[in-house]
Amino acid sequence: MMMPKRFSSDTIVPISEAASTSISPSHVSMDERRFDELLDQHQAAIRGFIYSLIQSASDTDDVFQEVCAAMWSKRHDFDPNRPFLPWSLGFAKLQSLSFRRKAGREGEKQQAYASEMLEGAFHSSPLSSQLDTRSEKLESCVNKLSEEKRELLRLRYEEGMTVTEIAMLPDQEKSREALFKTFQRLHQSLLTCLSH
Amino acid sequence: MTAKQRVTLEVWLLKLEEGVLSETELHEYTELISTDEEAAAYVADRSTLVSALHTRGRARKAAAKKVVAFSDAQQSARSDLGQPPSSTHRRSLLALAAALAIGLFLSLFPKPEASNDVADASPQIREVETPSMPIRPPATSVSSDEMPFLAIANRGSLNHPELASSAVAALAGTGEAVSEPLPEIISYNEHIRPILNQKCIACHGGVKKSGGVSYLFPEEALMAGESGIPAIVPGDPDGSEMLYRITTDDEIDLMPPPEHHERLSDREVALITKWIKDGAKFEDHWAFLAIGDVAPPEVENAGTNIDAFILDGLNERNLIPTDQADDYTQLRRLSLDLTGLPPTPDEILSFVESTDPDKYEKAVDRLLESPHYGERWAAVWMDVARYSDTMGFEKDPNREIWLYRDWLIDAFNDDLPYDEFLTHQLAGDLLEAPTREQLIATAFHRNTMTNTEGGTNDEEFRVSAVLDRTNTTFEALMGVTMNCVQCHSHPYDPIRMEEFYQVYALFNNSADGDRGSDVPVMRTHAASDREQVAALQAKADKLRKQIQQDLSSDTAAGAQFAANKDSFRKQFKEDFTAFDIVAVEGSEGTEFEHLGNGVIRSKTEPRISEAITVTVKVPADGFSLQGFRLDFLPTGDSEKPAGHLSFAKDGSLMVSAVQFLLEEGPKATGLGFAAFDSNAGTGSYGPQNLVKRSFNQQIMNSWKIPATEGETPWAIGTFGKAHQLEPGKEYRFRLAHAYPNARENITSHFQLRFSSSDALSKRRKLNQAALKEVYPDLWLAPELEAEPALDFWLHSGVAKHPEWATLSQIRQDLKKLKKHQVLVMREIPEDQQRESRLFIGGNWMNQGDVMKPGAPAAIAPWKDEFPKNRLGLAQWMTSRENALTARVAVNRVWEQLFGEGLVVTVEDMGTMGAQPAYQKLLDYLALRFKTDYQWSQKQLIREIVLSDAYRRDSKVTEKMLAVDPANRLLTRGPRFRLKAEMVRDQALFASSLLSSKMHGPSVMPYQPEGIWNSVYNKRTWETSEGEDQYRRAMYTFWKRTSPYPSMVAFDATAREICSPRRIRTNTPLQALVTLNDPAFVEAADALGQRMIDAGSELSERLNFGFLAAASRPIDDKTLSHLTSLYHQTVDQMSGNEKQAMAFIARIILNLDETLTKS
Repeated sequence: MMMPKRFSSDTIVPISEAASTSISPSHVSMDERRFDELLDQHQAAIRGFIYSLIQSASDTDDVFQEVCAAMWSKRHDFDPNRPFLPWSLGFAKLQSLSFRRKAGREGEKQQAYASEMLEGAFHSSPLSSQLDTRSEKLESCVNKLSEEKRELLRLRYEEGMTVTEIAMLPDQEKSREALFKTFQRLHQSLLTCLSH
Repeated sequence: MTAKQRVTLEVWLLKLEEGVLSETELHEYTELISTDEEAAAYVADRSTLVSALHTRGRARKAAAKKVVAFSDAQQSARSDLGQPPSSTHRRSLLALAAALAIGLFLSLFPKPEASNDVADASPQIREVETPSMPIRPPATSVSSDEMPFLAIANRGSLNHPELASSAVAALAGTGEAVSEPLPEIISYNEHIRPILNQKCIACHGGVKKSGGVSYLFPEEALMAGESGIPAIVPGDPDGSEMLYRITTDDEIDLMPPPEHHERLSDREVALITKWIKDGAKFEDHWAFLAIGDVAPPEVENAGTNIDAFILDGLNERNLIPTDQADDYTQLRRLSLDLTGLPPTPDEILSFVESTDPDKYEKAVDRLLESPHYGERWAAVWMDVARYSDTMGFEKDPNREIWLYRDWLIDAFNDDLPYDEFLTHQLAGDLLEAPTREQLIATAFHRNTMTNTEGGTNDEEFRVSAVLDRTNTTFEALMGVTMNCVQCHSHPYDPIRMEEFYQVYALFNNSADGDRGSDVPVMRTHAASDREQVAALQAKADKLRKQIQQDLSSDTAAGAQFAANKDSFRKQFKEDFTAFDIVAVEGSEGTEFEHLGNGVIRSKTEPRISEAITVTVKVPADGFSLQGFRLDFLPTGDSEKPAGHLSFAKDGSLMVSAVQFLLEEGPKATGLGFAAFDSNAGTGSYGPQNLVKRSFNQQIMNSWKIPATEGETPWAIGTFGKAHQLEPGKEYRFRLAHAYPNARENITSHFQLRFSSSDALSKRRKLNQAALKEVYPDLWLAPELEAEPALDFWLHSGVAKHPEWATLSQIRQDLKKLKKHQVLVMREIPEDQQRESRLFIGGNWMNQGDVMKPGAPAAIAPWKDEFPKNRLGLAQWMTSRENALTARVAVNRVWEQLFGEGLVVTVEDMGTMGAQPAYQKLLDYLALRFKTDYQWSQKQLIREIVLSDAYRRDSKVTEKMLAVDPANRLLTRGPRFRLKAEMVRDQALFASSLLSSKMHGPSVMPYQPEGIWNSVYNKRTWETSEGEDQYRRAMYTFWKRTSPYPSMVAFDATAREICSPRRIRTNTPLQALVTLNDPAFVEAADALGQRMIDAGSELSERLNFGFLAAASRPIDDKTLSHLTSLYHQTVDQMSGNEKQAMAFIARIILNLDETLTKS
């Protein structure tokens, strides 16, 4: 996923000008390269955050595009002395929430289902390279889990049940809170396993 | 992120997925991700994972539906045929579905274009990705590919410790039944540490803290690891991540990882659970703890306290020890152990015949007082001290350090208390007003190697020597292997890497620096010469005092002397004249003015490297020039203190060349100087540097004249003969300062005068001749009036005294008693002390934080009153709180007597060292050594050799052999092959060849040709003559790159580094040595002769040979064997009885019994 290239070069402040105004950092505009760098650096976090808010891999791409565009247009507001991530997450949150509202209105959310199986999603996380080169790894990691956890995985990801729903199953001994903890451990374990 | 934060984050994410996250929570969530990089990275990874899991879940569900549909269809088809569905088909379909899922999964994660961009995004993840080094617990075999540091261990070059636990572990019985009830109180040392050491520490210890978890230090184990959850929460097994990890069914989380180790047994888990529940109390390793209760147990028939401990242990195991050995065996064992020599036949007979009930005790005391006791035990310490007569490394040149060996022998014989013994060796030079012996003792740590190879970095090998001192101190004296800690925290023992470098810092301020000269050294007399030296010195002092008195002014002789002195002075009166100065020029443009009487002063500050040329005019009546005199006057700058000669910071002057020449047209004639004298500047910066020096040379060694209060510096140059200067001629006198990068000025204010007195040359000559005898080291003549000149006056005949000849003779005699060199430790001055830094990864080029001096806290606390140097280290080691020092010392003594230490690994009393079979006994002896015996080694040895355990018969029963093959439980007396030194000494002693000469330089007994091939130096093995050929083995010249072969065959080490324990081996080479080595051949010949001399009967002769070598009378069976063998041999050697007896002696000397201490 590349940065949208619809910005013409005449919007870029000439380097000499940038240099001459370097005394006051708040007035320094970000040039394209710097913007790209920061984006590269934080892409994974921004995407991860968007995904956590909207739960759809393909929509994450769209929202991320919009976030990038919004950030670019507001780039002069960015203070280079402050961290980039919080600034960009502000945009991501706004765009994601607006997407959710829109998706909720249009009732499209369920339709993403089929397309998502075929579309590419995250390729910016270090983990994805692991998943890519060792695709059987996930399978083998899942197989290393205990029976109980594999069942939880099945309920959550095959049956599509929420944790609250799982907690209410008649033979489920664990409380919802306990299940939260178990899922945390479960995700953590899988991530650890995948990263080895 | 803390564990709590992780869970909170997960709850938020799960709530988000359910669409029930509140506004506030959403805000908090965003806030956390924005500010916590780790959280952001986690969310990124988790999102990827969850997306993949969703995809996988849907694919599986879809596939399962198809399978169900398919199998339903099939089943209905099959049921038509009356067949059950095939499980094989079902499996293949599932596989198909799985393959489909994986295919989809693959397409979800296209390969990123540039993976390093990705890695930059999240440092946490990158760390996780680092390929982990699979370290297996020590018990399993390890391939060297997997563990690089073990590969080093296998080469043995670093003396890396054995990682395998000892056989004693087997005795301790680890395989207890699960059903056995848990102990009431769980002891960390007894129950928990063995589990951790065996199964956890390799990854969670000093080398590696996987997941940020280490069990070496309590505070680390209780701290949250990378997961944010503490491994151990005292009192809360459920909250302890460790317990979850060792019990979970998740292979991912299970610890130890299934591929590394089997899971912990139920009992081990139960032990750990109870231990955590009871509060997870950590304990220090037993050897580091203070010595607790050492009261001997109440046991029947225990002869001594030592035996009470041992019998108690044997009773527990239903073992019955052997009886006392016979008198012969006891005396032989005792003599060899205490003096390294067997008893003489006379000693044996009188001991056996004696009916004195205290005869054994008396023999112990007699042997402890034998001077050979010191030799025997010094030889042990020489291994520890890595004593060698060469420097080591490639060139391995000779080094003179044997005075240290002499010191060792005397220290043992004088029973120097062990605490002082250690202190003198570690820091004798730092004691107040150290004695010569205390200084020699410091050679202990100068036995490190020196690398004289060209192109090697002195600093590198200085550091290497300091590291060696650190390691040796701990391995030899503290029984802790520290080598590991140079590179990483200790893998098993609670010693941090920082602590290693704290000790390193204590050693890092010694003045030695891998120099070829091995400085600092001390030159002193050998102990054997010292008495004579002291006597002669006292006599000389007394005589001189008397002479001085006799020549004092109120005596007639004194009056005569005073008169002679006056006339002598007149004869040598010097007289200087100033010439007219025509011009003074500075080469760098400084202007000078002359103020009359030869005084010259610069108008401005002279430049550095200024050369001053003074043109003088010879007086009208000519001049017979003998020399000149320069007086350096203060700058005249009121800002500078008096005595400040130059404008330079320290006020000193520098002159690199002086010239006096006549210029006529293009020709310049310089007059050569014979000598320079001065009252200023000495040594390598003295004025002699100016004697033969071309004016334009760039010179390193100049004459430096320090600024001094009071006396103005002067210099007198003499030409050695008279030069007739023609009237009116102009000469140039030049002073140059051509020293590159100089910081001192040349003079700016001085007086130049000339002399025609031949007193200059005469005085010069007189000084040389007279002073050479009295002050050989003095270049500069003392002022004639000065006090030490009495000898000068006497020598030159100005003063006369009848005893002068006697005094001179005594001085000659003193000179003949040569001083010898010994390397010593010396601390560099406080203001120049080095800053010691930790070496990251053990690499001296990769320096970390600055280290404050100190010592490992786990062993004993470092007190504020300890000086922060080697003396402080010695005080720490011998402090009341340090229980390890005494334990290690006792263990070493025990090892020498019993063949194995109470802790078998003498060099390692740490947690990976062998478990002692009788820990309480070791503690008892350690405490007694420290308190009751006040560190007396003789007393300690005495108590041990008086025990029944030591005096037992070494006969072994089958049961003993089965239960305790190595005799670690001490069911029987010690029996093992003699040490290398004893093998030689015994043969020479039995044959009466052994020289009783003690002390002195190393000797070179027979050694096969061509063993030595010393590169770069022409050192050869020059076989010693006379009695030096038959000295005790410990005096043998020790070359590190080529140690004495017949001792190496018997397990002697090269002593390149400390070797705290010789591992006994038995090889055929040993028999070849004792059969063929010229020393042994000669010993056999001599013993044969002794046997012949012992009596007229053959049986008497054979019996004598047996007594001398094997310390017992010959038995009938052996007698009959040897008798018939003797007769056969005589026949074969055509009646040569002498040769035949030598042959029999050779057999006796080669008997297993002779080479064994039983």
